[in-house]
Amino acid sequence: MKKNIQMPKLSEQMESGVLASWNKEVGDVVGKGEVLFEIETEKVVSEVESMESGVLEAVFFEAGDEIKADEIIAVINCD
Amino acid sequence: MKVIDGTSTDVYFNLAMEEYIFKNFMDTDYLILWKNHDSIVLGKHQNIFEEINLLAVEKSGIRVARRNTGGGTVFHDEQNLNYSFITSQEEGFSNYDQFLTPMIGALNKMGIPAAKRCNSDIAIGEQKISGSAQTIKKGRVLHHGTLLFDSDLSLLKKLLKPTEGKITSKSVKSVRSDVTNIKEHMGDPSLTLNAFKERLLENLFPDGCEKVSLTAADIAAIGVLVAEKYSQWEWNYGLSPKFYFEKQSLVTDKDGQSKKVVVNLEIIKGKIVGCQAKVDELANAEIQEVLIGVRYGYQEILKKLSGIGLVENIELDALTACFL
Repeated sequence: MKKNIQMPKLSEQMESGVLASWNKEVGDVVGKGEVLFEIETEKVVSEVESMESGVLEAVFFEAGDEIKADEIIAVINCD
Repeated sequence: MKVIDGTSTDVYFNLAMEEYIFKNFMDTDYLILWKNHDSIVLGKHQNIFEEINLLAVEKSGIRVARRNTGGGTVFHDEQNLNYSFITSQEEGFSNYDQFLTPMIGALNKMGIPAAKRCNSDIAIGEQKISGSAQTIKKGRVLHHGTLLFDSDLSLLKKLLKPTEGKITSKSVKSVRSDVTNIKEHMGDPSLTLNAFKERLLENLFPDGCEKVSLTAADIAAIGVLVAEKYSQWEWNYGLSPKFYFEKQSLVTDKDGQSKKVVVNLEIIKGKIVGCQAKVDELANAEIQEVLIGVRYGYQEILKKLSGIGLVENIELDALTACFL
């Protein structure tokens, strides 16, 4: 089953954030709880852990992109 | 809150110590005070290659270190005091006031007219004396900042001069600020950094504070982190985001002829993955092939180019400079 990964909304005021780096590449196995990507906003680095286990099948944004909260940024194949 | 007074001036050790305490010391809140010998410290998501003069830094031997928090490139010398607060995350995200307010309060009590400026700076008037940044992991926040006490930034500023080529990358950029040293505003020319540090602690904790030390086991574990991560090229340089480099140079060859060298590079994880090099409009296949997979840097490029003999009658040094 494929799960969409969304850009998190880290606070009420946060409308978008910068996806600062991917910690996994397409094709990598991702475990639930492993750090999948990092966000940097106002010099704060926040690690975002994966809520799913599976293989990272696709990513739709590059490191450095500014992305709206809740936008779909990747797909994990949980099969 | 417990206080750890760092004794090392090794930037790799200190960054590793910060991470180690952040991830392992969960019993209470911590304040770490530390200083580094001359170092360039960049933010987690910066491209080191667009921040520094690569050749000057390689020649100087000054350490380049990537930290875990966001933001831009800063310079540390032993007259700059770093402070790190480690606490549990309060409600919301990116709360700088939680840490800046007590710090500014303490500085004010010491007679320093410091105030908050922008989101995360402390300044005296329009001149910055402190910048700060954070990282958040599993409900714990690491907030750290600099305190420019009596730093000599002139040498380090020369290392900042960027390449004359054009770098395109989606990295976090540095923001340059006008700075001043705290000592100039304290009216006591004999005041040392150590004395300043002690006074700062007295004003942060009027009821006193508990100082704790690292154990031998802590220091050994931190040493492992230094060896495996903080001293590694892969962490400091290789973690830079992908970027493109373009530069046109006019060089004089050994016979005094002027030649135009145009270089286009694609660099991923600090290594050259794509290379176009033209001398007087003609692509040079030898150069283009020999540089693939090479770490981007003066010494590495020089070494590879020296292996292919004299190229287009151009001196090796001059040719290498076309790539930086």
